[in-house]
Amino acid sequence: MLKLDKVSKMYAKGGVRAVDGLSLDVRPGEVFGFIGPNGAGKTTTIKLITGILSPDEGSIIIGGVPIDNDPIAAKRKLGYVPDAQDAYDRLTGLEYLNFMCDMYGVSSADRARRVRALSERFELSGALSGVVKGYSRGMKQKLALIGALVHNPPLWILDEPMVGLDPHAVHVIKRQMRAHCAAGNTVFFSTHVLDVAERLCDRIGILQKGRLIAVGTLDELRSGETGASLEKVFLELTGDSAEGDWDE
Amino acid sequence: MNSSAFILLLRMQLRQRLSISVIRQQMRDKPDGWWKRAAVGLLAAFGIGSLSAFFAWMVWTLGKTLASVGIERLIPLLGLIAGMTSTLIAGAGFLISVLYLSRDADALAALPVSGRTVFAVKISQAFLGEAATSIPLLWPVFIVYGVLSGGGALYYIKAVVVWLCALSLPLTLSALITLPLMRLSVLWRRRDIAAVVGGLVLMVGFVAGEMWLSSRMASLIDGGVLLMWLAGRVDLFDRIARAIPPVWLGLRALTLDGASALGYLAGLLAVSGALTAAAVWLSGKIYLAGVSAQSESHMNTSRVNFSGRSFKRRAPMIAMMIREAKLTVRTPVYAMNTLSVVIVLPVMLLVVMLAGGSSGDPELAAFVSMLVRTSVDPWLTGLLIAAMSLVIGCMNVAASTAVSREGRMFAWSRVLPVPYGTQAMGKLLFALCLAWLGQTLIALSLRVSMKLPVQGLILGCLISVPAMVPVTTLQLAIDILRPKLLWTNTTEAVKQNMNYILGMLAALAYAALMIVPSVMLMTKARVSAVVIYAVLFAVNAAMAAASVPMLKRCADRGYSAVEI
Ligand SMILES: Nc1ncnc2c1ncn2[C@@H]1O[C@H](COP(=O)(O)OP(=O)(O)OP(=O)(O)O)[C@@H](O)[C@H]1O
Ligand SMILES: [Mg+2]
Repeated sequence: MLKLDKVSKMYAKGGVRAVDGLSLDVRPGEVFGFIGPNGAGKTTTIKLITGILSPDEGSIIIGGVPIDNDPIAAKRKLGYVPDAQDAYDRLTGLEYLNFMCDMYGVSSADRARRVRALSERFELSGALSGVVKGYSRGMKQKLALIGALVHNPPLWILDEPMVGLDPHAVHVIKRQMRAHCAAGNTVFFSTHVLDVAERLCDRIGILQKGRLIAVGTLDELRSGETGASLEKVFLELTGDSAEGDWDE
Repeated sequence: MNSSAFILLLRMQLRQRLSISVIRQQMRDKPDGWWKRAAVGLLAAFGIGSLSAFFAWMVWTLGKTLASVGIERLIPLLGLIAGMTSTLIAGAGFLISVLYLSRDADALAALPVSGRTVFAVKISQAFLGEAATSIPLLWPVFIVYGVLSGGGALYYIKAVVVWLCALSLPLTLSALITLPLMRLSVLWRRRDIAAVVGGLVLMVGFVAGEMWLSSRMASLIDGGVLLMWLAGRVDLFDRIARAIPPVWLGLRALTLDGASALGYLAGLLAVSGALTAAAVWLSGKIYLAGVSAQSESHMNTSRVNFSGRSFKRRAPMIAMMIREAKLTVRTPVYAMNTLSVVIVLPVMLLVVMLAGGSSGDPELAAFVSMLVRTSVDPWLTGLLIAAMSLVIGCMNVAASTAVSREGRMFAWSRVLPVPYGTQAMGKLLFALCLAWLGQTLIALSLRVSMKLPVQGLILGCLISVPAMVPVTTLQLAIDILRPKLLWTNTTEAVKQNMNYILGMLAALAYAALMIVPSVMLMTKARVSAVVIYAVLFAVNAAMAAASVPMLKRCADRGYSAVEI
């Protein structure tokens, strides 16, 4: 569903190699979790997949369509939830969702049905008539989630989607991810919440300094150490400097 | 007020505003990109410089004429009136955005510094901005008068003081107006609309008030033996100046010599000092409450009707245009800067002309009748109207900041599965609709106020309606190729955006290129008007048709090249 082949990206400002020869194959119908320390390049990778940035080297293929050959067809297969809290403050929630539907070409009948179902599921239907400026952080995040799902995308990409959500909403989003995959779609998300990644993901990729240092199911990552938590695996693989003396 | 906190904050804000750190980093990392920026800066500086030089030349010519009858005092008088009123009008909108609608307002309010300090930092920033932009307007005036009256070093020192007071006075005055307004706006549910409508009313009201004052002046001059006697003793101009005390103080300080001038200067300083103190004192009481009121917004909790018509499907280009329109109209600073051109300018024209014509102000009436008489030739009128509506259209920021206004949301343009050309077309359509609306209103107000011939208006529109397409496209193209996406308040996105100036210059150049040769050919070379119109129409229609593919190509390049 999503294939990255030796993708590299260097930010012109600062000369950081944010993504370094990254190859990845996310299969249809799976939930793929993307974890790594701060500054590892997760957000950069996601921006490369969504077309916000273009890679210096390598190719990205979405649902069989290389993104630089036919960017429009590739982007149509995506639903994207960014990590930032920026939003079109002066639109109402409903206006925003309608705008997204127009952009992705969702028919009138489909959009009414989907917006209703999704907004009720995320408990946002009461706020849709209000302007986004008056939303709380979590409400904005829910609106972004709904906006990314209105066109029922084959590939759903989320950058740290749990930030700022209440436990109930986290539960809903986890169910939504599973349901989305069960319907034959693919979910790709980055997170720092390792318990969620551990329980939710079919496969997990660990990124460090722009390189994929491990990828596989939880069992494969444990590599023999039965019963080790993802946290332990993560800290071992990424070299934990947190151990040692904590004098202050 | 804590002065070290004040200086620290002001320095931080200025660094952010002028993006000093960003520029430094860019100079380190990409020395070649720096040259491009410098070239653009030079181009803009040249454009502004040439306009300013032209203005200085005009002031000089006018000054010499006035000096020949001994009333060169009129030069600083008009300069001070123009400087103060424009600061008052522009300052109110600017202050609202800087004081209340900055993204960092909440963060600053949370700092352990007093509301007064934050206010002082913000208003100092506004003051510095106004000071910079007023230099090309006010300094030619001061220098011309200095040369004409043979002023020495003392004169120029006085001029510096008068200049600074002429800016700080109206700025603190509009702060004193906006502070309670913003505090009271807590009581009003639709605050954004309140800000827009209030701003527009303020502008129109100000001009109307001025017109009323000057028409009163005119009738004062006409009526009464006593008043005639007064007019003989006190100059008419002095009476106008006296109507606005700060102008009077500044004028006397500049035009008198010796100790009496210093007395007026001290008076001016005292007034502006007192106003500043009052504004700072008041800000300590109500500024932060006003800020927090602005960050709230009215929450509509009515339920959505899922079977209703609110789910109509639209073509991406139309959806883009509608979103653009909604965001522009609902964001106070954007609305002020686009609607003011489209609505306020024609209304002002109407007010000025009607008030001037009906109150029997003899000079204005004579001027209008001259205009009408010389423009009995509808063909020539048409060209003038086309030129006028193009020039006014140039000042519209709708196109020249369309991409910059996206700010950090620009990333979405790359995510959406809609070709960049289509997205840009949506923006173009919105800007064009505004421009055409402005043209229509201008034409209507010219018809009503000056009774210009209908044929002339129609002929003018025949040229300017298609000409608006290449002009607007050009403005949009500039913003697509070098948008300013990093800003913390919306004023930065529009008014402190180089593209606004570049777009204005480009549009002015286009208008001049079209209209000046045509007028020459028609009046001097006596080329048939029909031929000129046919050529102009054909050229502009062709340019309009060529604009669309050009914009698409430009968007394809620009949208993917911008670094975010
Ligand atoms: N706009 C930018 N300009 C320059 N360098 C950047 C930019 N954005 C990110 N970087 C650099 O790229 C690297 C990867 O950043 P990225 O945002 O992808 O990390 P991340 O894995 O998402 O981190 P986090 O977990 O904190 O969100 C970092 O070293 C960062 O400094
Ligand atoms: Mg990130």
